Amino acid sequence: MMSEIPKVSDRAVPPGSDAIADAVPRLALRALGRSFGDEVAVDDLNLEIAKGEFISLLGPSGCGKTTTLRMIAGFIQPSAGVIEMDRVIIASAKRALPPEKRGMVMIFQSYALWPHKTVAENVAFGLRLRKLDNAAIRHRVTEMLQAVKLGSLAGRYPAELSGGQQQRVALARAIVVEPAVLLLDEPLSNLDANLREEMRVEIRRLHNKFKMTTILVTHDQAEAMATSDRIAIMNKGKLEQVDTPLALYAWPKTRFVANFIGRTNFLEARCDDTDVVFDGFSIAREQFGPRGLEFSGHVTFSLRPQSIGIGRQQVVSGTPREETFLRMPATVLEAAFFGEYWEYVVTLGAGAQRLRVVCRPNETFDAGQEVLLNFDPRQMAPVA
Amino acid sequence: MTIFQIPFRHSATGIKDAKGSSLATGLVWASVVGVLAFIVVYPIVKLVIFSFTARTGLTFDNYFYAFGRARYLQALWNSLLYGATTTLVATLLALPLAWGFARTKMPGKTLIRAGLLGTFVIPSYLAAIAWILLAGPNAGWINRAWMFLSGAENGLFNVYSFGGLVFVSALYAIPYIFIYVSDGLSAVSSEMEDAARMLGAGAIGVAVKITLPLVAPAIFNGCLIVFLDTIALFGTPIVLGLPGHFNVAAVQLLEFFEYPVRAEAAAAYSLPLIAITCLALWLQRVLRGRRSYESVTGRTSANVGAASPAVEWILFAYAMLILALAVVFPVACLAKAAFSVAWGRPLIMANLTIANFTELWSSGDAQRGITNSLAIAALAASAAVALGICAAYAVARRAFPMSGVLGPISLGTLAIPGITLGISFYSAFSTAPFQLYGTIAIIVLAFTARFLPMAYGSCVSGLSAISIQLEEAVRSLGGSQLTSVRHVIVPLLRKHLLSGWILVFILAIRELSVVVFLAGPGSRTISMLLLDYSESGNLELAAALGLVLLAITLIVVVAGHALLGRDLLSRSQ
Repeated sequence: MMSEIPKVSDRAVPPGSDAIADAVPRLALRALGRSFGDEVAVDDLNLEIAKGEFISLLGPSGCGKTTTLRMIAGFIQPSAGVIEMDRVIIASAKRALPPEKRGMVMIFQSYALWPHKTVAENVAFGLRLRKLDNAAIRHRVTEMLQAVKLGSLAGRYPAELSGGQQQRVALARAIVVEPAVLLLDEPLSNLDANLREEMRVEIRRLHNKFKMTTILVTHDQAEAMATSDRIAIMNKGKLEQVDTPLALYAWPKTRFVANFIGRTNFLEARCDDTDVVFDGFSIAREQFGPRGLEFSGHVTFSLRPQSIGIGRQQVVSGTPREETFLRMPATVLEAAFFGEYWEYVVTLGAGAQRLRVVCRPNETFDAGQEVLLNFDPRQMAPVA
Repeated sequence: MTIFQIPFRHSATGIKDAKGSSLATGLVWASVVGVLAFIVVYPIVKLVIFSFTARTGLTFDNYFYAFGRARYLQALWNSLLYGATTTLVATLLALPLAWGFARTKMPGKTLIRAGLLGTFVIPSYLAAIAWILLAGPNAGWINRAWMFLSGAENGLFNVYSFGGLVFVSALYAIPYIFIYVSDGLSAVSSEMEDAARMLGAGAIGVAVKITLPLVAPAIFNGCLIVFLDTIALFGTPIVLGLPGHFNVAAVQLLEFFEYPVRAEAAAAYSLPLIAITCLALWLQRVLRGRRSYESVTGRTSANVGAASPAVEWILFAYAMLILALAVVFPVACLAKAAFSVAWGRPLIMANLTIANFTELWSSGDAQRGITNSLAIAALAASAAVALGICAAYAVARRAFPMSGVLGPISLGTLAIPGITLGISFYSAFSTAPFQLYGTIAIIVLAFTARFLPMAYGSCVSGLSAISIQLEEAVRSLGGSQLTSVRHVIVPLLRKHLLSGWILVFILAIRELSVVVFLAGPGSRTISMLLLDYSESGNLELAAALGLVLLAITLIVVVAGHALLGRDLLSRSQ
C-alpha cells in the first residue's frame, strides 16, 4: 500500500528551492481531447502548469472544463493526446494511471465528506492510507484543522457543520496529504454569496501558505480572478486564452474572452493608411501606441465601460487624466443607477455606435444630455 | 521519455501493485457472476430442459401429460379464478383503509400501521390454520357464537369453501394494496385537486376524474403483486381448499411428486406460472410507459382532512374490525389453542395445559425443524445480502464491462413463483453432479435465489443515495476501489444491509412453497411441520409451533426496529 501512494514529506518543500526542477512543468496537457460518442467535450487542449502555480479553468457550463479536470484526476480517460506529470505520461488514449496512483487530490463540488466519519477522521483518512503512525496522524490533523480554523470542531460529524465549515474540512482533508496537485471542482458553488467571498480568500490564503500546484474549475469569473495566478478560459471544448487575470481583463484576445471576463463594448473599425475608422469617428494610428501601426483590414476592438470617462460638455473638465486620452462628444441615451455605480448608454458623434459607460454614483447625467467622453485608445484591445 | 513510469514520489512497484489489486477485484466480480449464474440462471435453464426430458431423450410427453387431463387444467383455471377474486376482495377491503389513512385525520394511524405490519408478519398458512379455529364449520368459535346467539342449527361460515379461502387470503393481502395506494394518495398534490375544484368540479367529480386516475397505477401495482402472490400461494389452498375439493395449480404441483413421481411433468406444468408472471410484469411496464405519472410527486402535500369526524370514526371502526379479523382473533385463537388440551373446549382450568409446548420441546422433529428454520433463514439472509450488495454495486458503478446484466439477473426470481422455483431447484440440484436433494444446502441456495431481489432492491435504494463523489474522494486520496467499498460504501449502507437481512430472514423463516419440493427427512422446517400437524388434525400442536414462529419473527422485527427505527421495512422493499 505504502508504495502506491506518494509519501508525505516531513515538511512541504517550498517551490523554487530547486531551480532546475522548476523548469519542468508539474503538469502538461498535450493535444488533449475527449469525446463522448459524437460529442467532442475537449478538443486539442495544450496547457502547461508550473510547480506551485494556481491556475483556473474558467468557462460557461458545458465548455469542457470539468471533463478536463476529471481527465487530470484520472476519473476520465482521454480519447486523444496525453497528460504528463513531471515529464512522465500518466494518461493517454491507450492507458491511464488510476486516480489513486497520481498523487493528486480532488475537492468535489459536493465536498464529498464521508458522513459517517467525524471531521478529524475525514482529515486523517488519507494519512491512514499512507500508513503514518497514529501519533504523527494526530499531530498533522490537529495542525491542519487549526490551519483551516476548525480546531474546535474535530469531533463533529459533517452533517453538524455549516456549508463553509464543510468546505474547510474538504480543503483540510485534501491539503493534509500534501498532494502533488490539488484539484478543485467548482468548490464554492454551493455556498451563498458572502461565504463564497470569504472562502475564495481562504483558498488563496491556504495556497500562499502551502504552495501546492492547484487547478480550480469554475464558471464564476470573480472566483477565478481572486484566486488564480493564471486563468485558462475555455469555450466549446477549446482553450480560448491563458493569461494572468489582469491581462485577460485588459488584453482579451477573442470576443468570447472579452465578453466573459467582465462586460465590454465592441467597436468595429476599418483601417486605412493613417487612421482607424469607426462608425462616426476615426482615431489616428499612432494614438494606439506602437501596435497601432500593425492594424490592418477590419478590426474589432474591445473597450471596457470602466475605461471610459464622461465629462460635461459645457464645462471643460480640465485636462484629460493623461495626455494620450481622447475627448469625444457624445449623447446620453439611457441612464440606469445600480447603487454602486451608474451605467450609461451613449452614442458617439453622429454615428450609430453605442457604448456602455460605467461611472461613480456622483457622476450624474440625464438621458438626452450632451456630454464629452474621454478614453485612452491604448486601452482598446483588438479581438479576434 | 518513459511511458508509465510511476510519476513523482511513487515507487517503482506501483504498477505491479495496481495489477495485484485489480486481480483481487477481478476475482471478486468473477465469483459474484459465477454464483449468480449458478443459483439463478442455471436452475431456470435446467427447469426448461427438464420439462422436455424423458428417460429416452427429449420429448413433449411431459407437456401432454401435464395438460392432458381435465383435472389438471381445472386446477390452472381455479388458480386464476382464485387469484383474481382474492385481488378484487383485497382491493375492496384495502381502499377505504388507504384513503382514510392518507386523506383524513382518522384516529389511531400508528396503531393501524403497526397492525398491518402484523398482518404482513403472520404467514398465510398459519393464518389459515387460525381461521379453521375461528370459522371451521360448526366447531369454529365464530360459528359457535352465532349458533349460541341465534339458536341456529348450523354455523354462519364454512372456511373450507371457495369464499372462505378467498376471504382469508384477501385479508392477508390487504397490506400490499394498502402500502401502494396510501403512498399514491399521499403523493397526489392537493393543488391538482384544488385546480379541478376551481374549474367547477364537485367533490365526487374530483375523486373520479382527478384522484382516481392519478392513483390508478398504484392500485394496479398493488393488485398485480397480490394476484401474482396469490396464484403462487401454496399453504392456504392446501389447508383450506383441499378439504373442500378445491384444487389449485400450486397444490396440483405437489401431487405430481406423490408416488409415482412425475417431476418432469411438474416442471412442464409449472412453466405457465412463469409465463403468467412475465405477462403481468410486461403489462405493468406497458401501462406505465404510456403515460408519465412523475408529476404525481408534487411539491405540495396531499389534502388531509377531507372527511367529517363522523366519517373518520367510521373509518377507524372499520380499520379496527379488519385488524381484529386479521390479527387479534387469529392470534388469540392460536394462543388459546396452544395452551389447551382440546382447542374446541372452553377456556377452563381443566382445559389449560403447557403440554403442547413440552411436547414440542421433547420432539426431535420440532427441535430439528426450529433449528433448521433458524439456520436456513440466517444463512439465506446473509448470502442474499452479500450477493445483493455486490450485484448492486457492480451495476451502479459499472464495475466491469456488461456489469449491467447483473441487475435483471438479480431481480429475475421475482418473475418466478416460489413453487416453480422449488421445482427448478429440484430439477437442477437433485441429480448428478449436484446431489443436494434433502439437504439444508439446497434450501439455502433456493432461498438465496428467491429473496435476492429484496436484498438487491434494498442495496440499490441505499446505493442510489450515496454520491459517487464520496468514493471518488477515496480514490483521489490514494485508496483503491476495494478500500472505498470497505470504508465508505459498507458503513454507509449498514442500515440498508441490516434492513435487507431482516426482511429476508422474516420471509425465509416462514417460506413454505419452495421448501416442500426440496426438504428431506433431515431438513424439514417449521413451515412444513406446521402443515403436517394441521393435516394430521393436531391443531393444538400446530398452534403452539405457530406461536413459536410468530415469537421468533416478532423478536427479529422488534430487534430490527430498535436498531433501525423507521428505516425497517420501508416502502422501497
